[in-house]
Amino acid sequence: MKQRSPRHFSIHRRGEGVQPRELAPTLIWVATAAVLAFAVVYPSVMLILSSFKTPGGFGLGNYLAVFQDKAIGVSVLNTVKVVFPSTLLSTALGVFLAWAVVRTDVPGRGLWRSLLAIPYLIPPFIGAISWTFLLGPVGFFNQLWQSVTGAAWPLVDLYSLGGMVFVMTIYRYAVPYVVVLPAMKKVNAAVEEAARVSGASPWRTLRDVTLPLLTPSILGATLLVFMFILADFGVSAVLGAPNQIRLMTTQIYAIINRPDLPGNLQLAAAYSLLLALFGLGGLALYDRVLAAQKYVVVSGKSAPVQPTPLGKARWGLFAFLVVVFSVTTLAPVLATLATAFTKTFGLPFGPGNATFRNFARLLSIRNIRRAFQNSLFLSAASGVIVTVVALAVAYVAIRGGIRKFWGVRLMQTMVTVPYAVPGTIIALAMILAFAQPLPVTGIRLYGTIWILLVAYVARFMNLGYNNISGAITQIDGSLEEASRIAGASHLKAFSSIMLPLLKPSLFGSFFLVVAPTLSEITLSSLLWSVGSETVGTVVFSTQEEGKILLTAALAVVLVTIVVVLNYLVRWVSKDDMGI
Amino acid sequence: MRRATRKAVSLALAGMLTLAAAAGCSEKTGPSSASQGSSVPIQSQTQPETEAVTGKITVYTSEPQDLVTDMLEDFVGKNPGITYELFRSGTGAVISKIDTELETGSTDADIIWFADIGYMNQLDKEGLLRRYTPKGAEKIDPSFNYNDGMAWEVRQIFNIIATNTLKCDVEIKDWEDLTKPELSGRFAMANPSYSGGAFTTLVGLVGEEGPGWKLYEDMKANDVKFEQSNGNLQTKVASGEYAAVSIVDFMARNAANEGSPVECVWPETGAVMVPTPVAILSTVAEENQAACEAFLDYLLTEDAQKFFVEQGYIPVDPSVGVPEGAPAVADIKTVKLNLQDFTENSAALRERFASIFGE
Repeated sequence: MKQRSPRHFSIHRRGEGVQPRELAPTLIWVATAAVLAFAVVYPSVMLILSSFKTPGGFGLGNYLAVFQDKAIGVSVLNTVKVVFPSTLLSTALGVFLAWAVVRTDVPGRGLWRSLLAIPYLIPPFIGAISWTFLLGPVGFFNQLWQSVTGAAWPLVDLYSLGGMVFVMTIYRYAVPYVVVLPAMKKVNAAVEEAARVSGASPWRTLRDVTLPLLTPSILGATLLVFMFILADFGVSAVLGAPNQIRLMTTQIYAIINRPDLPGNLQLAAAYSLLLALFGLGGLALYDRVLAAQKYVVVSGKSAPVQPTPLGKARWGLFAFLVVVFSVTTLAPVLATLATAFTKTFGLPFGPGNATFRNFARLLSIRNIRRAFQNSLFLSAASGVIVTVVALAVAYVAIRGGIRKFWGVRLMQTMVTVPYAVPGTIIALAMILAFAQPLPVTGIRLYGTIWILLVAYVARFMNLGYNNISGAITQIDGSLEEASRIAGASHLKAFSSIMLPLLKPSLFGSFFLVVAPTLSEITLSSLLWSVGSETVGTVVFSTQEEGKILLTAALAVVLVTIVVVLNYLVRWVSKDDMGI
Repeated sequence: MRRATRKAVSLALAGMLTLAAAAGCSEKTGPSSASQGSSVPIQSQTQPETEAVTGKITVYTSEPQDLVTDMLEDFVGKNPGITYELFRSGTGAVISKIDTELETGSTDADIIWFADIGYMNQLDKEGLLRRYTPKGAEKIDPSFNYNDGMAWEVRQIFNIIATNTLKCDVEIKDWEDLTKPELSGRFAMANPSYSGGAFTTLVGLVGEEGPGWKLYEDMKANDVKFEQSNGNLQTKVASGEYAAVSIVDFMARNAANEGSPVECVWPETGAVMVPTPVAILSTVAEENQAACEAFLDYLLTEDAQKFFVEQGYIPVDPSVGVPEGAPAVADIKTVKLNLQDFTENSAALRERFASIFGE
């Protein structure tokens, strides 16, 4: 997880080294700029222009409509009601768990550390579907409740705002957990010890000493999880559909899918830009927190962490971790497995009602087979493109050499922003930019798989960029200089010095992009068309179609692929990457 | 040693993904370029009938993904020169896809197949549908031919009532029984604002032979629930979340035949026949027209009609029988469906529905 440390969104400052211009780097820079202009700038401009486009020309009509539309107002309110509680709850849970597995003597710490990170791997919309098997109106839990108590009504209604808060908390706590964990390890144990020696209880120590030391890291994690939850589409789409509860993202999705409404895309554009403001606000705060973080004294070379002895309370904590793990991970996984192997829906699951045929059925449906191929293709292709472009931008931005070129900062922004705003907005920008045939060439990207590739690259560029720029910063510029002095060209120095050193990070950035793109749903659900279905879209539509058994089987296959990939990556990278 | 293995695995991983990429890629370029009509070999239109038809059909439908895939696979199996593409989503989403595509250029769809006869009428008015009379049309009832060959019914779907045998404790014989207080909050139907089938049902039930708007007003008072698709109704009545649902017949019958605790109730007043016809667009590339016609021909063949029966549908060809658990076609009573209402009064009906349910 080192690679994804808190710097998800950081914008690196320009490097100091000034080197003379050369032709090759210039060409690479121009090519990179062209890719970004095509994938990010052009769609963004189209999005902004569209939001001002009204039947009578240009104006603020769409914005006025946004503020007057009742349904939009409700969706904003719903978003507030979901995003804030789940952000706070998941941060609290994530930080507490990180503390428990790093700084206490709870039994089985090492094992817990990995187990508790598992929700990070499960795509949240798959998580939401799993929870419907468990807590849905006829999920295992409610059925048990009704058969035990004889109640006529299910106890829990998952298809509600509360249900969304619950599921988002369950899956998003992993973000603050993995972000705060490394910082938690670095807190100087001596400070905690001093508190305890002076008579403070473990809880008091946690509250008054450990947490304040970690404030910047926690704040960063909070903002990060805020942006993730704000951008969520899958969970709110799955849980909101039955009762037509819409958040901002799903409301935009609904508006985009109303072609009978005149000017629906323009209205959606105006609404999107308002939503983007929230995301960008989060990003600005996040950058600020990161900048402040360097003043915090966290001793780098502390003695090995001395866990806080909890006494008997450690068994209480142990029990709590068991509950957390069972609820967040074990229960939904088991419920999904049971559903995926069920033969006849509506009858209790058991040996007499078990089958493999749901999986066989998946293979027999061509569009589903092809969805897996498409997703593999898209994730591999976007992994390669992101790595190459991110390398170029990061290298130039940090090592300079083309300081006089305009737009280094602009390029960094272009790389960062598409990841900071919700994916629904990116998808809309892509539709607005590429639905019409492109000028000159006459090629229409909308309706082909290529629009998905462009969207994925724009959206996930930041993951590769941060990983690679972090690595470049750590390599001393003198190495390259030495080679330049020895007469190597800029490009030669780069390829024989930097590339070998950067190789692990390049692989890292590739896999960082592959993982989320494999199960991508937000962009895909708006941009897919005939022949370009992705795993996310088939899971989504199978679920919408009410084919519960097939959906569960799909979920099992998808999660298996993601988990296996993660552990292979972790093994290949010697625990450097992956959970 | 370990290092070497790691390296090997890492290479294998990268290789695997690249291969997948290449596979995805080659599979991709075919359809996408073909859909732009650039690289498909031009077929002679004057071929004799005995020669195998070639071409590609792109079907936009709201049929269940698994059933329609099986059907299309059977079709291309019998017509080796033809390939297919399938876009499957809910009726509303399919229509919105077509509209978006038409608005920004041209649609990829060659054949449309969903439960919105009103939308098809509208496309027809804009000259976007091509009339065709499939072979075997003489075998079926003339009422399955809409607007003189604009669209064809290829199997029958009826909206009926289904109950959960474990959870439903009241006797249900007709539509009005759904407003019994015992079913308060435990009865559901598909939302007419989203589902073509549900809107058709509404048109039938408020029509001259149906129970009228009062049924909907009473259901509202009885806390009726809405789902977005018939598939959801099927799962939820099977699981007992709802004691009763208004649902298309084949889904209820299939669930019952699978062993789920579901019983079909054919309302005494009459079921609603839901037109779900197949139509060919007028924008089909010339080289694919013969393939589209072949598909419509195929759907009315005895083999395809039997296939429908196997899948649980009531066929349009009376000679192939009916699926297990279905009534004989002659015994099915339906309420009259005023097809004019679809095109002319659709907006007013939707509005009235919305005003009752306060949407």
